Amino acid sequence: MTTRKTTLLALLSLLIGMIAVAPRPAEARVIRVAEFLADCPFSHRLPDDPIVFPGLPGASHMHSFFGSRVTNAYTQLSDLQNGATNCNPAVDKSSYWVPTLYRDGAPVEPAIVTFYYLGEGVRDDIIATTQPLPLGLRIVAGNAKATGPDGSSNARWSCLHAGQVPPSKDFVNCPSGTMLESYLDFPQCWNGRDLDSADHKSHMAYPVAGACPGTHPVPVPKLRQVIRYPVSGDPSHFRLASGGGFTMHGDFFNAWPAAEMERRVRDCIRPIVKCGADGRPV
Amino acid sequence: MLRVFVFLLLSVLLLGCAPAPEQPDRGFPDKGFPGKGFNATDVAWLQLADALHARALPLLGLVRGRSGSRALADLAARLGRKHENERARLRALLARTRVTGENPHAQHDMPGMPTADDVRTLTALRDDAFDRRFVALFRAYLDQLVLVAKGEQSSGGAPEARELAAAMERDHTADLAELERAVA
Repeated sequence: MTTRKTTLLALLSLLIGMIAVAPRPAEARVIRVAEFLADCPFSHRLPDDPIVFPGLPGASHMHSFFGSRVTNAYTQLSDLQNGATNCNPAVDKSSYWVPTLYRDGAPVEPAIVTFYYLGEGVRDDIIATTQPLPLGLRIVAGNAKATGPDGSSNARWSCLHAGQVPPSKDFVNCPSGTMLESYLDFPQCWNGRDLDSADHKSHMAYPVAGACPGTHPVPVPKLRQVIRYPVSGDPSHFRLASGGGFTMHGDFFNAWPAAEMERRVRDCIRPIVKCGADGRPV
Repeated sequence: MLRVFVFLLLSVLLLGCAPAPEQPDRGFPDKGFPGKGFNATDVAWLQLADALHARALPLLGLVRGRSGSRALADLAARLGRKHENERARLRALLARTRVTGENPHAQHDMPGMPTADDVRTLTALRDDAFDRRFVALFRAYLDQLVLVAKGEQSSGGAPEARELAAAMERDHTADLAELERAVA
Protein backbone atom coordinates (compact mmCIF):
# COMPACT_ATOMS: atom_id res chain seq x y z
CA MET A 1 0.00 0.00 0.00
CA THR A 2 2.71 2.43 1.04
CA THR A 3 4.75 1.52 -2.03
CA ARG A 4 1.76 2.16 -4.25
CA LYS A 5 1.18 5.51 -2.58
CA THR A 6 4.80 6.47 -3.03
CA THR A 7 4.76 5.46 -6.68
CA LEU A 8 1.58 7.44 -7.20
CA LEU A 9 3.08 10.47 -5.51
CA ALA A 10 6.22 10.20 -7.61
CA LEU A 11 4.20 9.97 -10.81
CA LEU A 12 2.08 12.91 -9.74
CA SER A 13 5.13 15.04 -8.98
CA LEU A 14 6.56 14.13 -12.37
CA LEU A 15 3.32 15.14 -14.04
CA ILE A 16 3.15 18.43 -12.18
CA GLY A 17 6.79 19.05 -13.05
CA MET A 18 6.08 18.43 -16.73
CA ILE A 19 3.14 20.79 -16.72
CA ALA A 20 5.18 23.46 -15.01
CA VAL A 21 8.30 23.13 -17.14
CA ALA A 22 7.35 21.70 -20.50
CA PRO A 23 6.90 24.35 -23.17
CA ARG A 24 3.45 24.03 -24.63
CA PRO A 25 2.45 24.59 -28.24
CA ALA A 26 1.19 28.14 -28.88
CA GLU A 27 -2.39 27.15 -29.68
CA ALA A 28 -2.75 25.44 -26.32
CA ARG A 29 -1.34 28.37 -24.32
CA VAL A 30 -4.55 29.28 -22.52
CA ILE A 31 -4.63 31.02 -19.17
CA ARG A 32 -5.68 28.55 -16.48
CA VAL A 33 -8.47 30.62 -14.94
CA ALA A 34 -12.13 29.63 -15.32
CA GLU A 35 -13.58 32.96 -16.37
CA PHE A 36 -15.73 34.92 -18.77
CA LEU A 37 -17.03 38.43 -18.23
CA ALA A 38 -19.43 41.21 -19.13
CA ASP A 39 -18.63 44.92 -18.95
CA CYS A 40 -21.86 46.76 -18.20
CA PRO A 41 -21.57 50.50 -17.44
CA PHE A 42 -24.03 52.68 -15.52
CA SER A 43 -27.44 52.86 -17.16
CA HIS A 44 -29.89 54.66 -14.87
CA ARG A 45 -30.91 55.42 -11.31
CA LEU A 46 -34.27 54.67 -9.65
CA PRO A 47 -35.60 54.09 -6.11
CA ASP A 48 -36.88 50.73 -7.39
CA ASP A 49 -36.03 47.06 -6.86
CA PRO A 50 -37.88 44.47 -9.00
CA ILE A 51 -36.56 41.62 -6.80
CA VAL A 52 -37.14 42.97 -3.28
CA PHE A 53 -40.05 45.35 -4.02
CA PRO A 54 -41.68 44.03 -7.22
CA GLY A 55 -44.52 46.27 -8.38
CA LEU A 56 -43.79 48.96 -5.76
CA PRO A 57 -42.08 51.92 -7.50
CA GLY A 58 -40.35 54.27 -5.06
CA ALA A 59 -40.33 51.71 -2.22
CA SER A 60 -36.55 51.23 -2.20
CA HIS A 61 -33.49 53.28 -1.44
CA MET A 62 -31.80 54.66 -4.57
CA HIS A 63 -30.24 52.07 -6.87
CA SER A 64 -27.75 52.44 -9.72
CA PHE A 65 -28.59 50.02 -12.55
CA PHE A 66 -26.08 48.45 -14.96
CA GLY A 67 -26.64 46.44 -18.14
CA SER A 68 -30.34 46.41 -19.00
CA ARG A 69 -31.59 49.91 -19.86
CA VAL A 70 -35.20 49.14 -18.96
CA THR A 71 -35.16 47.85 -15.37
CA ASN A 72 -37.72 49.37 -12.98
CA ALA A 73 -40.03 48.14 -10.21
CA TYR A 74 -42.17 46.16 -12.66
CA THR A 75 -39.42 44.35 -14.57
CA GLN A 76 -40.00 40.74 -15.56
CA LEU A 77 -37.66 38.41 -17.43
CA SER A 78 -39.43 39.11 -20.75
CA ASP A 79 -38.85 42.87 -20.31
CA LEU A 80 -35.10 42.24 -20.02
CA GLN A 81 -35.08 39.84 -22.98
CA ASN A 82 -36.93 42.37 -25.17
CA GLY A 83 -35.15 45.46 -23.85
CA ALA A 84 -31.86 47.17 -24.71
CA THR A 85 -28.60 46.66 -22.82
CA ASN A 86 -25.32 48.55 -22.55
CA CYS A 87 -23.31 45.40 -21.78
CA ASN A 88 -20.32 44.20 -23.73
CA PRO A 89 -21.21 41.54 -24.90
CA ALA A 90 -24.57 42.88 -26.07
CA VAL A 91 -26.05 39.37 -25.80
CA ASP A 92 -26.05 39.82 -22.02
CA LYS A 93 -29.52 41.27 -21.34
CA SER A 94 -29.16 40.76 -17.58
CA SER A 95 -29.81 43.50 -15.06
CA TYR A 96 -27.41 44.28 -12.24
CA TRP A 97 -27.88 46.94 -9.53
CA VAL A 98 -26.30 48.30 -6.36
CA PRO A 99 -27.17 51.03 -3.82
CA THR A 100 -26.10 54.41 -5.20
CA LEU A 101 -22.86 55.89 -3.81
CA TYR A 102 -23.05 59.50 -2.61
CA ARG A 103 -20.19 61.92 -2.00
CA ASP A 104 -21.26 64.86 0.18
CA GLY A 105 -24.86 64.08 -0.79
CA ALA A 106 -24.28 64.02 -4.56
CA PRO A 107 -24.59 60.70 -6.45
CA VAL A 108 -21.37 59.28 -7.93
CA GLU A 109 -21.61 56.70 -10.68
CA PRO A 110 -18.82 54.20 -11.39
CA ALA A 111 -16.33 54.64 -14.21
CA ILE A 112 -15.71 50.89 -14.70
CA VAL A 113 -18.17 48.09 -13.98
CA THR A 114 -17.22 44.49 -14.68
CA PHE A 115 -19.12 41.31 -13.91
CA TYR A 116 -16.81 38.29 -13.87
CA TYR A 117 -18.26 34.79 -14.05
CA LEU A 118 -15.79 32.46 -12.36
CA GLY A 119 -15.25 28.78 -11.63
CA GLU A 120 -13.07 29.37 -8.57
CA GLY A 121 -14.39 28.65 -5.08
CA VAL A 122 -14.92 24.92 -5.60
CA ARG A 123 -12.45 22.10 -6.38
CA ASP A 124 -11.29 21.68 -9.99
CA ASP A 125 -13.21 18.40 -10.38
CA ILE A 126 -16.37 20.26 -9.32
CA ILE A 127 -15.58 23.20 -11.62
CA ALA A 128 -15.63 20.60 -14.43
CA THR A 129 -19.28 19.90 -13.62
CA THR A 130 -20.43 23.55 -13.43
CA GLN A 131 -23.96 24.09 -14.72
CA PRO A 132 -25.18 27.25 -16.50
CA LEU A 133 -26.86 29.92 -14.35
CA PRO A 134 -30.53 29.28 -15.08
CA LEU A 135 -32.41 31.88 -17.14
CA GLY A 136 -34.51 34.13 -14.92
CA LEU A 137 -32.45 33.45 -11.77
CA ARG A 138 -32.58 36.29 -9.22
CA ILE A 139 -29.97 36.71 -6.49
CA VAL A 140 -29.28 39.34 -3.84
CA ALA A 141 -25.72 39.16 -2.44
CA GLY A 142 -24.14 41.18 0.35
CA ASN A 143 -26.02 42.52 3.33
CA ALA A 144 -27.96 45.78 2.99
CA LYS A 145 -28.83 45.51 6.69
CA ALA A 146 -25.27 45.08 7.99
CA THR A 147 -24.85 47.23 11.06
CA GLY A 148 -21.06 47.37 11.01
CA PRO A 149 -17.92 46.20 9.18
CA ASP A 150 -18.16 42.71 10.76
CA GLY A 151 -19.02 39.15 9.75
CA SER A 152 -22.54 40.18 8.71
CA SER A 153 -21.07 41.94 5.68
CA ASN A 154 -19.27 40.23 2.76
CA ALA A 155 -18.48 42.99 0.30
CA ARG A 156 -15.01 44.54 0.37
CA TRP A 157 -13.57 47.90 -0.56
CA SER A 158 -10.09 48.60 -1.93
CA CYS A 159 -8.22 51.02 -4.20
CA LEU A 160 -7.52 50.48 -7.90
CA HIS A 161 -3.76 50.89 -8.53
CA ALA A 162 -3.02 51.26 -4.82
CA GLY A 163 -2.59 47.71 -3.52
CA GLN A 164 -0.76 49.02 -0.44
CA VAL A 165 -4.11 50.12 1.01
CA PRO A 166 -5.48 47.06 2.82
CA PRO A 167 -8.97 45.99 1.72
CA SER A 168 -11.76 46.61 4.21
CA LYS A 169 -15.46 45.86 4.71
CA ASP A 170 -16.00 49.62 5.00
CA PHE A 171 -14.91 52.47 2.70
CA VAL A 172 -11.13 52.93 2.47
CA ASN A 173 -9.05 56.09 2.03
CA CYS A 174 -7.63 55.86 -1.52
CA PRO A 175 -4.62 57.97 -2.54
CA SER A 176 -5.33 60.84 -4.89
CA GLY A 177 -5.31 59.67 -8.52
CA THR A 178 -6.55 56.16 -7.69
CA MET A 179 -10.12 54.90 -7.65
CA LEU A 180 -12.28 53.52 -4.85
CA GLU A 181 -13.37 50.00 -5.81
CA SER A 182 -15.89 47.50 -4.47
CA TYR A 183 -15.71 43.70 -4.82
CA LEU A 184 -18.64 41.41 -4.12
CA ASP A 185 -18.83 37.65 -4.76
CA PHE A 186 -22.25 36.09 -5.28
CA PRO A 187 -23.05 32.58 -4.00
CA GLN A 188 -22.29 29.83 -6.55
CA CYS A 189 -24.30 26.84 -5.30
CA TRP A 190 -27.92 26.57 -6.47
CA ASN A 191 -30.67 24.44 -4.92
CA GLY A 192 -31.48 23.23 -8.44
CA ARG A 193 -35.14 24.18 -8.15
CA ASP A 194 -35.99 27.83 -7.42
CA LEU A 195 -35.24 30.93 -9.49
CA ASP A 196 -35.87 33.08 -6.39
CA SER A 197 -36.86 32.66 -2.74
CA ALA A 198 -38.77 34.70 -0.14
CA ASP A 199 -35.55 36.27 1.18
CA HIS A 200 -33.97 36.26 -2.35
CA LYS A 201 -30.95 34.44 -0.92
CA SER A 202 -31.86 31.01 0.42
CA HIS A 203 -32.17 29.32 -3.01
CA MET A 204 -28.40 29.96 -3.28
CA ALA A 205 -25.48 29.13 -0.97
CA TYR A 206 -21.74 29.69 -0.71
CA PRO A 207 -19.54 26.59 -1.07
CA VAL A 208 -18.15 24.84 2.00
CA ALA A 209 -14.60 23.42 1.88
CA GLY A 210 -14.45 23.61 -1.91
CA ALA A 211 -17.76 21.88 -2.56
CA CYS A 212 -21.44 22.76 -2.81
CA PRO A 213 -23.47 21.73 0.25
CA GLY A 214 -26.06 18.94 -0.05
CA THR A 215 -28.91 21.46 0.29
CA HIS A 216 -27.59 23.41 -2.73
CA PRO A 217 -25.88 20.71 -4.82
CA VAL A 218 -25.62 22.46 -8.20
CA PRO A 219 -22.38 24.38 -8.88
CA VAL A 220 -22.96 27.42 -11.12
CA PRO A 221 -20.51 30.16 -12.12
CA LYS A 222 -19.65 32.57 -9.32
CA LEU A 223 -20.62 36.13 -10.20
CA ARG A 224 -17.97 38.61 -9.03
CA GLN A 225 -19.10 42.22 -9.17
CA VAL A 226 -16.22 44.72 -9.48
CA ILE A 227 -17.15 48.40 -9.44
CA ARG A 228 -14.67 51.29 -9.75
CA TYR A 229 -15.77 54.74 -8.64
CA PRO A 230 -13.92 57.87 -9.81
CA VAL A 231 -13.43 59.08 -6.23
CA SER A 232 -10.63 58.92 -3.66
CA GLY A 233 -9.69 60.42 -0.32
CA ASP A 234 -11.43 60.82 3.05
CA PRO A 235 -14.16 58.16 3.33
CA SER A 236 -16.20 60.29 5.74
CA HIS A 237 -17.57 62.05 2.62
CA PHE A 238 -19.04 58.80 1.26
CA ARG A 239 -22.23 56.95 2.00
CA LEU A 240 -24.36 54.39 0.19
CA ALA A 241 -28.11 54.79 -0.30
CA SER A 242 -28.40 51.80 2.08
CA GLY A 243 -26.06 53.24 4.75
CA GLY A 244 -22.34 52.71 5.50
CA GLY A 245 -19.86 51.04 3.15
CA PHE A 246 -20.48 47.69 4.85
CA THR A 247 -24.10 47.73 3.56
CA MET A 248 -22.83 47.24 -0.03
CA HIS A 249 -24.93 44.65 -1.80
CA GLY A 250 -25.69 43.60 -5.34
CA ASP A 251 -28.77 42.34 -7.15
CA PHE A 252 -28.59 40.14 -10.25
CA PHE A 253 -31.44 39.19 -12.58
CA ASN A 254 -30.11 36.70 -15.15
CA ALA A 255 -31.23 37.26 -18.73
CA TRP A 256 -28.28 35.77 -20.65
CA PRO A 257 -29.71 33.73 -23.56
CA ALA A 258 -29.47 30.11 -22.38
CA ALA A 259 -27.31 29.06 -25.36
CA GLU A 260 -24.79 31.90 -24.79
CA MET A 261 -24.50 31.08 -21.08
CA GLU A 262 -24.17 27.37 -21.84
CA ARG A 263 -21.42 27.91 -24.44
CA ARG A 264 -19.37 30.00 -22.00
CA VAL A 265 -19.77 27.45 -19.22
CA ARG A 266 -18.69 24.68 -21.62
CA ASP A 267 -15.76 26.54 -23.25
CA CYS A 268 -14.45 28.70 -20.36
CA ILE A 269 -15.58 27.51 -16.93
CA ARG A 270 -15.52 23.69 -17.07
CA PRO A 271 -12.15 23.41 -18.87
CA ILE A 272 -10.72 26.29 -16.71
CA VAL A 273 -9.93 28.70 -19.52
CA LYS A 274 -9.81 32.50 -19.28
CA CYS A 275 -12.23 33.98 -21.78
CA GLY A 276 -13.12 37.54 -22.69
CA ALA A 277 -16.48 39.25 -23.12
CA ASP A 278 -17.07 37.27 -26.33
CA GLY A 279 -16.75 33.99 -24.46
CA ARG A 280 -13.62 32.96 -26.41
CA PRO A 281 -10.21 32.23 -24.87
CA VAL A 282 -8.13 35.38 -24.49
CA MET B 1 -21.06 6.31 -5.02
CA LEU B 2 -24.59 7.50 -4.26
CA ARG B 3 -23.36 11.09 -4.41
CA VAL B 4 -21.88 10.54 -7.86
CA PHE B 5 -25.09 8.97 -9.05
CA VAL B 6 -27.23 11.82 -7.68
CA PHE B 7 -24.92 14.31 -9.29
CA LEU B 8 -25.01 12.57 -12.67
CA LEU B 9 -28.76 12.32 -12.48
CA LEU B 10 -29.02 16.02 -11.63
CA SER B 11 -26.68 16.95 -14.46
CA VAL B 12 -28.69 14.97 -16.96
CA LEU B 13 -31.91 16.49 -15.71
CA LEU B 14 -30.48 19.98 -15.79
CA LEU B 15 -29.00 19.64 -19.24
CA GLY B 16 -32.10 17.95 -20.56
CA CYS B 17 -34.62 20.45 -19.32
CA ALA B 18 -33.46 23.95 -18.55
CA PRO B 19 -35.96 25.78 -16.31
CA ALA B 20 -38.83 27.03 -18.41
CA PRO B 21 -38.92 30.80 -18.90
CA GLU B 22 -41.49 32.59 -16.77
CA GLN B 23 -44.82 33.71 -18.14
CA PRO B 24 -44.27 36.79 -20.28
CA ASP B 25 -47.22 38.65 -18.72
CA ARG B 26 -46.92 41.43 -16.14
CA GLY B 27 -48.46 39.51 -13.27
CA PHE B 28 -46.04 38.49 -10.56
CA PRO B 29 -45.62 34.76 -10.04
CA ASP B 30 -47.21 33.66 -6.80
CA LYS B 31 -45.32 30.38 -6.61
CA GLY B 32 -43.06 30.25 -3.60
CA PHE B 33 -45.67 31.98 -1.45
CA PRO B 34 -47.91 29.28 -0.07
CA GLY B 35 -50.60 31.70 1.16
CA LYS B 36 -53.29 31.32 -1.47
CA GLY B 37 -53.87 34.37 -3.68
CA PHE B 38 -50.94 36.42 -2.36
CA ASN B 39 -48.20 37.44 -4.76
CA ALA B 40 -44.68 38.85 -4.31
CA THR B 41 -45.96 42.45 -4.33
CA ASP B 42 -48.46 41.68 -1.53
CA VAL B 43 -45.74 40.19 0.64
CA ALA B 44 -43.24 43.01 -0.04
CA TRP B 45 -45.88 45.68 0.62
CA LEU B 46 -47.18 44.08 3.85
CA GLN B 47 -43.64 43.66 5.21
CA LEU B 48 -42.57 47.18 4.25
CA ALA B 49 -45.74 48.86 5.58
CA ASP B 50 -45.44 46.89 8.84
CA ALA B 51 -41.77 47.90 9.20
CA LEU B 52 -42.62 51.56 8.46
CA HIS B 53 -45.25 51.51 11.24
CA ALA B 54 -42.86 49.84 13.67
CA ARG B 55 -40.22 52.52 13.08
CA ALA B 56 -42.43 55.63 12.96
CA LEU B 57 -45.01 55.03 15.69
CA PRO B 58 -42.56 55.64 18.60
CA LEU B 59 -42.30 59.23 17.30
CA LEU B 60 -45.93 59.82 18.34
CA GLY B 61 -45.11 58.97 21.95
CA LEU B 62 -42.60 61.84 22.05
CA VAL B 63 -45.11 64.58 21.22
CA ARG B 64 -46.85 65.10 24.55
CA GLY B 65 -44.52 66.98 26.88
CA ARG B 66 -42.28 68.24 24.06
CA SER B 67 -44.62 69.91 21.58
CA GLY B 68 -45.75 73.48 22.09
CA SER B 69 -49.05 72.73 20.38
CA ARG B 70 -52.06 71.23 22.10
CA ALA B 71 -53.62 70.48 18.69
CA LEU B 72 -50.55 68.50 17.64
CA ALA B 73 -50.50 66.54 20.90
CA ASP B 74 -54.17 65.59 20.48
CA LEU B 75 -53.59 64.59 16.87
CA ALA B 76 -50.58 62.45 17.84
CA ALA B 77 -52.67 60.56 20.40
CA ARG B 78 -55.41 59.92 17.82
CA LEU B 79 -52.93 58.85 15.15
CA GLY B 80 -51.21 56.53 17.62
CA ARG B 81 -54.40 54.56 18.26
CA LYS B 82 -55.35 54.50 14.57
CA HIS B 83 -51.97 53.39 13.29
CA GLU B 84 -51.56 50.66 15.95
CA ASN B 85 -54.89 49.31 14.80
CA GLU B 86 -53.78 49.49 11.19
CA ARG B 87 -50.55 47.70 12.00
CA ALA B 88 -52.54 44.85 13.55
CA ARG B 89 -54.48 44.50 10.27
CA LEU B 90 -51.22 44.44 8.28
CA ARG B 91 -49.80 41.76 10.54
CA ALA B 92 -52.95 39.64 10.35
CA LEU B 93 -52.72 39.66 6.55
CA LEU B 94 -48.98 38.98 6.69
CA ALA B 95 -49.67 35.89 8.81
CA ARG B 96 -52.05 34.69 6.08
CA THR B 97 -49.29 34.88 3.44
CA ARG B 98 -47.53 32.19 5.54
CA VAL B 99 -44.19 33.89 4.95
CA THR B 100 -42.37 33.28 8.19
CA GLY B 101 -39.24 34.69 9.77
CA GLU B 102 -38.22 38.16 10.81
CA ASN B 103 -39.50 41.09 8.77
CA PRO B 104 -36.56 41.72 6.36
CA HIS B 105 -37.05 45.49 6.46
CA ALA B 106 -37.25 45.88 10.25
CA GLN B 107 -33.52 46.47 10.79
CA HIS B 108 -33.04 48.63 7.75
CA ASP B 109 -33.28 52.39 7.17
CA MET B 110 -35.73 52.56 4.28
CA PRO B 111 -37.19 55.72 2.72
CA GLY B 112 -39.89 57.12 5.03
CA MET B 113 -38.39 55.59 8.18
CA PRO B 114 -36.95 57.82 10.91
CA THR B 115 -33.38 56.72 11.65
CA ALA B 116 -31.99 56.17 15.16
CA ASP B 117 -30.21 59.55 14.78
CA ASP B 118 -33.48 61.25 13.84
CA VAL B 119 -35.16 59.89 16.97
CA ARG B 120 -32.23 60.96 19.20
CA THR B 121 -32.25 64.47 17.77
CA LEU B 122 -36.02 64.79 18.03
CA THR B 123 -36.03 63.61 21.64
CA ALA B 124 -33.79 66.53 22.64
CA LEU B 125 -35.95 69.21 20.94
CA ARG B 126 -38.80 71.25 22.48
CA ASP B 127 -41.68 73.47 21.36
CA ASP B 128 -41.56 74.90 17.82
CA ALA B 129 -38.23 73.25 16.97
CA PHE B 130 -39.69 69.90 18.05
CA ASP B 131 -42.91 70.48 16.09
CA ARG B 132 -41.08 71.33 12.86
CA ARG B 133 -38.82 68.29 13.04
CA PHE B 134 -41.61 65.95 14.13
CA VAL B 135 -43.91 67.06 11.31
CA ALA B 136 -41.11 66.62 8.71
CA LEU B 137 -40.39 63.06 9.92
CA PHE B 138 -44.04 62.03 10.22
CA ARG B 139 -44.86 63.58 6.83
CA ALA B 140 -42.05 61.51 5.21
CA TYR B 141 -43.54 58.36 6.79
CA LEU B 142 -47.10 59.13 5.62
CA ASP B 143 -45.93 60.14 2.13
CA GLN B 144 -44.07 56.84 1.75
CA LEU B 145 -47.08 54.84 2.97
CA VAL B 146 -49.29 56.61 0.40
CA LEU B 147 -46.74 55.91 -2.37
CA VAL B 148 -46.38 52.20 -1.67
CA ALA B 149 -50.15 51.78 -1.12
CA LYS B 150 -50.62 52.99 -4.72
CA GLY B 151 -48.14 50.35 -5.96
CA GLU B 152 -49.92 47.62 -4.01
CA GLN B 153 -53.29 48.59 -5.48
CA SER B 154 -52.00 48.27 -9.05
CA SER B 155 -49.64 45.26 -8.66
CA GLY B 156 -50.93 43.32 -5.64
CA GLY B 157 -52.68 39.99 -6.04
CA ALA B 158 -54.88 39.39 -2.98
CA PRO B 159 -58.11 41.47 -3.01
CA GLU B 160 -58.04 41.90 0.79
CA ALA B 161 -54.50 43.34 0.66
CA ARG B 162 -55.40 45.67 -2.19
CA GLU B 163 -58.49 46.84 -0.29
CA LEU B 164 -56.43 47.57 2.81
CA ALA B 165 -53.96 49.50 0.63
CA ALA B 166 -56.82 51.57 -0.83
CA ALA B 167 -58.14 52.34 2.67
CA MET B 168 -54.65 53.24 3.87
CA GLU B 169 -54.05 55.57 0.92
CA ARG B 170 -57.31 57.44 1.72
CA ASP B 171 -56.63 57.54 5.48
CA HIS B 172 -53.04 58.67 5.18
CA THR B 173 -53.87 61.39 2.69
CA ALA B 174 -56.38 62.66 5.29
CA ASP B 175 -53.73 62.28 8.07
CA LEU B 176 -51.33 64.42 6.03
CA ALA B 177 -53.95 67.20 5.70
CA GLU B 178 -54.66 67.04 9.45
CA LEU B 179 -50.97 67.22 10.25
CA GLU B 180 -50.61 70.39 8.15
CA ARG B 181 -53.68 71.94 9.84
CA ALA B 182 -52.39 71.15 13.33
CA VAL B 183 -49.20 73.15 12.76
CA ALA B 184 -50.66 75.83 10.48
